[in-house]
Amino acid sequence: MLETLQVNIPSWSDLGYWRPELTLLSTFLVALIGDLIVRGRRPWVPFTLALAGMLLALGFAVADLGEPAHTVMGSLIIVDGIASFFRILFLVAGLATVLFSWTSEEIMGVKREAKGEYYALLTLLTGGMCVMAEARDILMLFLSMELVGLTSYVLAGYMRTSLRSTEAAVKYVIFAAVSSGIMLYGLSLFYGLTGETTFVGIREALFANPPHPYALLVVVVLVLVGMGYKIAAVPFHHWAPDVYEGAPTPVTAIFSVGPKAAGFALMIRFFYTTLVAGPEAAGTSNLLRLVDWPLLIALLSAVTMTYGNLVALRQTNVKRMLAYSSIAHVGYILMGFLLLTSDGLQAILFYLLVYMLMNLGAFLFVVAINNHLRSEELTDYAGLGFRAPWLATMMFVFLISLTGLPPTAGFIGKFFLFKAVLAQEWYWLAILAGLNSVISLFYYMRVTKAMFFTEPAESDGAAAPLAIKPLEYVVLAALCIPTIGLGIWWGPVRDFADQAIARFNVGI
Amino acid sequence: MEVILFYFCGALMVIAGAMMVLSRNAVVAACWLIFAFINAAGIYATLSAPFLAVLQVLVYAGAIMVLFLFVVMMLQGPVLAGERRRLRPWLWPFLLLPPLAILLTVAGFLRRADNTSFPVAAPAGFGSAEQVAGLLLSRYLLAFELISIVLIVAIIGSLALGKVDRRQPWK
Repeated sequence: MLETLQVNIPSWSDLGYWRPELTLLSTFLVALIGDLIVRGRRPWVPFTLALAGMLLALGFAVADLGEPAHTVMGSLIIVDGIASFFRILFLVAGLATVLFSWTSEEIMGVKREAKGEYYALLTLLTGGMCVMAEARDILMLFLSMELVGLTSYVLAGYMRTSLRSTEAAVKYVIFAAVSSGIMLYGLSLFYGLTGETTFVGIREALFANPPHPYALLVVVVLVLVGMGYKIAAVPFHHWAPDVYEGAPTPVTAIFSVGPKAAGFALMIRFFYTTLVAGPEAAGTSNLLRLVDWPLLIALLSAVTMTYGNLVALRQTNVKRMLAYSSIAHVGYILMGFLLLTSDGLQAILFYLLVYMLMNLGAFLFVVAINNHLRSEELTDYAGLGFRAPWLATMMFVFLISLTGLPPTAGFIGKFFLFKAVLAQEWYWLAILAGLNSVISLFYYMRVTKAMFFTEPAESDGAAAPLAIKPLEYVVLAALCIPTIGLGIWWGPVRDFADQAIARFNVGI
Repeated sequence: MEVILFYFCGALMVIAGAMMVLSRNAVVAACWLIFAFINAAGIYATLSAPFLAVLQVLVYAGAIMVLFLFVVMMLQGPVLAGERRRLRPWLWPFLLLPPLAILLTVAGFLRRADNTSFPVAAPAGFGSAEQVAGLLLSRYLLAFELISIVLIVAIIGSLALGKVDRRQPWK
């Protein structure tokens, strides 16, 4: 019966809107093949290729910022304001990580062996995250999560000679399998409720024929499990501390911002499209009342930030402490989802960008110090303020920004989040978040105290200044300057987020 | 008839899945998994997706599981003998969560005011090889291509992680 079959092969013409992703995908392949051509003897070949590919992709992404929303090759992918916003975020994070991996001795080894597949996978991870921000169909949602997931497991276990790294990879795989299984169940029930796989179709079916609240509640919770795992929200966070501690630190740096932000991008597109018809129409949707969405999110957010902060208090390993602190930050960001309004969305986007800068900075500082001290223990950070004064000062800036103190970007980010919560009159959540910020001050300042107010131990060479590489200064400064700058002059980034929201497409 | 078959296969699949998780011998677990896959194929068949059912048997129950068994036997899959632990008592209430969720969902589906909007009978030709191919080459072309990238990552990942290295601490 082949003659009766109608196959409409989608046109290739709109692939042009996917230039950054295509660049990243081809960089992935070129870096792999390039490494094979030089037989792994020239580590700079895959590094340079990955760097060039990411820069080119960033150029394309910036050039495409003003384009109207477009689907690419069918209905699975959309490139709109939100996607463009996240593309830039991911590419900046990817670039910083690639540059820092080059300086990291954990990755490159003392003998600087070839790491072709490492740089190739890093490029692909960035590309996969971009696809996550663009998925507008259940199938693509799952597929992009798997792409990012698979790449992440390999990167987490990249230090094959380290037991911790291998443990991190295995834990990551097992937790991912369980949570994506639960999420798939939820997604299949979404399909069962509506008979649609595109987010827009799901919304239209749900609005036309509202399901029973029980069914919708179960389905939404199941989907939240999968996304909560990706962003490491309590109680789906168990993998995060071990993976963050075990994985090579540059990889941890991108894990703590990249896949997390990609998970938020998915959440934004999925819930802002299916439960409400976009941020402007949040007040008119009764699906939110049906599942008691604000209470659900408020509880998730409250538990996440409190747990993250309280456990971070007791950590003695800086990397692990930052892992718990990144869980706490997920709690803050979740506050923006309370009522799926455009205020909340603006706060989420602004905070994610700021969080990317400061958290990446803090983790990259750990990489730089680890290159010299081979340690991430807080006690070994004693006296770093004198041994590497510039680096320690930049770390101090990242830490006060993570706490949310003025005049840093973290303060402005938290201000927007609190404003969004207070506008919805969820006072207890705002008060709890305020208390949590005070708690976080304690453990962030413990690092500062160790660096600036503790004398280094009087063993051989433990007080000598560290020979910091120029590249480390440049990348950290490139993250540190906007961290302060955005605290004083945040207008442009807020406008950038506003433009992304204005061009957020929930309808095609 | 189809309804009876559906529930029959479904029940067997749940049992097979539980037995797979509970069995202590890796080879036995793999055999239960094959059984679960075959029942999944039965479910596909009753849901008027014959092509998927055939693929499920050929690819999963056939090729992939044979590989699985080979690997398990090559590694002389461990038999978890001594390790027996009870679930901690405070975790017992959580066992009720999945059935509760299923109950709520089913109740939600059944009590819905308007159940007519969702098509019950599949249209003619649904689930045939031609239709699957047509969808893969049109609506899901991009996803189809992306899967190839996912597979490349899986291959490269297993090569990168599986290389023998004398410095590994457990060697």
